[in-house]
Amino acid sequence: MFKYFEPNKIFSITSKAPKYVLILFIIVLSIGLIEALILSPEDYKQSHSVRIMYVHVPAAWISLGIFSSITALSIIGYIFKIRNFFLISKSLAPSGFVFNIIALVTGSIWGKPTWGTWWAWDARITSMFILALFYLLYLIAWRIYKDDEKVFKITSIITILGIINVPIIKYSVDWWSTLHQPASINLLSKSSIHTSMLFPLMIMTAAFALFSILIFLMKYNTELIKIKNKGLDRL
Amino acid sequence: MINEIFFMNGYGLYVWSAFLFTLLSFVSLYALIKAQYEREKNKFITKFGILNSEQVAAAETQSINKEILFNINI
Amino acid sequence: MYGRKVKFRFFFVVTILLILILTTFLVLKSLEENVVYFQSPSEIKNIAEIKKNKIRVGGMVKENSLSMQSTVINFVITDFKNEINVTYSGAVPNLFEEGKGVVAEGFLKDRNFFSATKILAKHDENYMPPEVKAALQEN
Repeated sequence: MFKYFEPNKIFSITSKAPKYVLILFIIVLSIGLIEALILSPEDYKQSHSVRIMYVHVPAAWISLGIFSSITALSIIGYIFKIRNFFLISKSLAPSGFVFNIIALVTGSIWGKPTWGTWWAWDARITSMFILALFYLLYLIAWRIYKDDEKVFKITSIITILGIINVPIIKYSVDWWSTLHQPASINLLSKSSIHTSMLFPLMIMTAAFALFSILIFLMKYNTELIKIKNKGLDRL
Repeated sequence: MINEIFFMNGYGLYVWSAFLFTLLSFVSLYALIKAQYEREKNKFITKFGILNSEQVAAAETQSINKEILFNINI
Repeated sequence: MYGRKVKFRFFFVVTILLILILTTFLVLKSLEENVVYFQSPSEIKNIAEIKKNKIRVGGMVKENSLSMQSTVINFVITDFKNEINVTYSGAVPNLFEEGKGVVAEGFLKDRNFFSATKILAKHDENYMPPEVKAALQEN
């Protein structure tokens, strides 16, 4: 089944897709920004500062989602020796890292007017900070090691070590007392965010996801051309 | 109305800086990845240009090489 | 259907994951005291000895307990089982009010009195427009 993901077969799609994704991203982002900054209501308690949620929460979700995907792809790639999965992982990492940084920085900006502090070493914030370090480690590993076999192994190990942190981030607010509030959105129960605020949150999540896809496609194409470049050298 | 959008009940500075930081990160990451892409593509075109006819024929057996030359534009 | 090497690598990964989960669990369990950001009034009541170092106490600001005299603020933190009196002087965050979550950082004078050097507001996970909140309260 994996052969359908061979670079030769999908390159004709990935090479043309970015410009359409870019257009779609700009449209969805514009709608999201208007919703988040102007149309959505203020919160009864946090007033307008609640608007920071519309960049903070999607960024955190997507950085966690991307790290989980990278880990799954790396493990499957390692077990079945699928080189292409490592290229996909490598191409996913940059946007995941940037979203992690966005989540930390906007969280800090949100914390000052609501909690009264820029930073607290509580379990949620610390574990999210550790995730950023794992992303950094992952990206640096790809820069240091040029030998394929070696870099595949090392990045797999980094993701396996890092994935333990992901459930800790998710449940930190339930397991320990933290300054960070518990999750508002739950798959199994009713969300504690009012519908008028849930809508901009979903639009912004869609926009951020599109941005990740855009960066992924561009990075993936770059990696493929890099391989073909080596191919030309051998002719 | 305009006043409320900028001032936001005293939270304007925080809200706008959070959104600006996000958008600036997007633009920087896009610019960086785009530059890497252009560099790699130009390298490919230069290399392809100095191939002799025999090598060109060999390279063109791979459809992906042709697509890099003619089909890509972001 | 898969080769021996594939199976071998699969079990290798699974074993590493199991070891890591177990180790992380044990480490976090033993470090629990340091992982929590604050202690509840009930936990303060049960501590063996009062130490001189800085700690954090968290809970709800008890209704009708808040009093402000010029720069000094007094209030009670409750977890609905036990309570602790807090005294503080300085600025408080916007979200600090009666009936809402709070984390106070400072020094314990005895099991009932806490002298705070910093006040942080802890808000909950509910987000809604003011009109909806007003409608909810009417019901």
